[in-house]
Amino acid sequence: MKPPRKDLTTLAASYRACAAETAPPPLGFSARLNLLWDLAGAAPSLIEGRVLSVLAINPEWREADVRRWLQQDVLPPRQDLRNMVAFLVAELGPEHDTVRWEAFLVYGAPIVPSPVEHLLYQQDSGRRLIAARIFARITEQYGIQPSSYDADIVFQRCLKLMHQFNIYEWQDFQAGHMDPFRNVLFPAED
Amino acid sequence: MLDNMEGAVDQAGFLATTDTPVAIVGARGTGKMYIARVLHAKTGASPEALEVVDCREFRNRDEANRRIREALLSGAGKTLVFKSPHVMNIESQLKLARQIATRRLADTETPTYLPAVRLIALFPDNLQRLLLQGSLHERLASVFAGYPIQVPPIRQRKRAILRWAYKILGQEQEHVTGKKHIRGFTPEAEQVMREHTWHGNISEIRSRIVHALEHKQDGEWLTPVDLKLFRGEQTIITTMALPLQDMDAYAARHESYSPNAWEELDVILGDRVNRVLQEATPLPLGTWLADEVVLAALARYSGDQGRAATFLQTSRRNLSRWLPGIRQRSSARASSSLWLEPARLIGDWVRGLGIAGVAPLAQAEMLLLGHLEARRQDTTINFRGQLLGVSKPTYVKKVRDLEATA
Repeated sequence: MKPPRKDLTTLAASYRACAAETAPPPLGFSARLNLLWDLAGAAPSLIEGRVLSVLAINPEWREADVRRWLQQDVLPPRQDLRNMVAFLVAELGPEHDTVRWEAFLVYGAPIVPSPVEHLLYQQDSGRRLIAARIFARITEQYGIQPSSYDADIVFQRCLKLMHQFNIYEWQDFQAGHMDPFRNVLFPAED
Repeated sequence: MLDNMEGAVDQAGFLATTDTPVAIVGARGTGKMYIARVLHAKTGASPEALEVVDCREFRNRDEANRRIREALLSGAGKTLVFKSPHVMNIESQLKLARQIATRRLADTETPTYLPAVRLIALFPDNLQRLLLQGSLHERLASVFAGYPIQVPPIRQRKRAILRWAYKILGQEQEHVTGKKHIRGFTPEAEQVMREHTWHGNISEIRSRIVHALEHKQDGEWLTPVDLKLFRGEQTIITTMALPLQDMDAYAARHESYSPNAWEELDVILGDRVNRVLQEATPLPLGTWLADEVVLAALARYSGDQGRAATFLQTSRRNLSRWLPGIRQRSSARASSSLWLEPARLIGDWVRGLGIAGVAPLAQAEMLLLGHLEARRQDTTINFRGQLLGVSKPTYVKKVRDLEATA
């Protein structure tokens, strides 16, 4: 049963009680913003003149503001942040989500799952090989036809699930893993 | 791969390709330094280019600022690992945070960038929690909060326990000379190792294996008894004096909770006082406790008596005077099955302590005294004095001091 709705005076008092005058600076925002600039490779590092390079990309920004964004956890205005993230994420590749990166920069992990994890496994050939073997074994054992799934999506699910189950070597994959992997890799609606 | 530590190794490898200051977060003994070395190795630099800046060793703000400045100035091409920077005074934390955020050296007439140095900090707990406790400055937390690496306790990755145990057995057998070759662990030992909570994590695995190797008389396989994981030795007696007695059950329910060495020592000392009172055996707990603190201090400084004395806040002469007695009592301490756990935990606690604050010997004594006084109804003052290793008048005085402190 839904609780009875509170009257407006009570709600107004609750709002006043929890409203803060200033939001605390987002912990680690500048570090994450610099991480994104590092990954995008669009400007040199801080000791090699990142601030000036950022200003060269958009001369409308002011140097003092850029320093605050990159060094003092000050959030840029919403539209500037969106534009900057969209620009940097475009440099990373089409599989990256601008809005997710924006949320990650502001709130960080674990509030927003790290968009970096995807990159983490991109270069891990050993892990990808095990994922491929698991993928092949499950499709063979359960007779799953190639036309019934999107291989790229299933492969990413497999990498993520391996991480969650702590599977780092082929012998970590046990017979008991088959069913849970099948259910996650090929959910009923796919 | 021996142990990916729930992705921590992958994350370290990934972050090595960026310029991000990296926080490595994990309870004592989880292998934070191992992850730091993995990250450093991935950069392709030589192992010698990894420099540890142990912030627990700074006696005051000036020393902290000076040592950090020296490390930053000579840091070109290096990885600097700041151990427990949250124990430094707040001004030094803020100064370090500013230098990292701007990548500029403090206190220079002309703005000077830091050399190309990779920055890592090791924290024993979540950054948010350290902030809430008031020990970590927000700015320092923030520069390391970009993408922290969490090193999970080993109980959360049971399959890795045996891998580490076998690796450590292989490593430590080389150091224990004159002993028969140990081939491995019995199935029962493997079973209890899987089930043990390992609050001390990889360090605890190592210390149990080292102890087993040193004391193994015959046989080629290590058993639960050798590892002191025999259930009879693990059970903590239930008493009202042990508020944390359900620590393991609590830890199982709250996976992120890991008691620190001091909390574990508190529980185990309460248990040992309880056992001694039940058996009416006057073990010199106070003397042994002091012995272990001194030995742990010496181990912390690799036998350097001058530094150990400074850490213990005593003179080097005092320390030299104590050592013959401590050595004389070593066989009595080692032969008591009740003492292995407190000894191990004292070592863990002393390793993680900062250099400032109340002297470690006094802290340890106050802890034991608290447990003895909690059982004052069940025992005489003479007996309690005997357990603390002091005369009756001294005991009474110490209790008065304890009450005044409280």
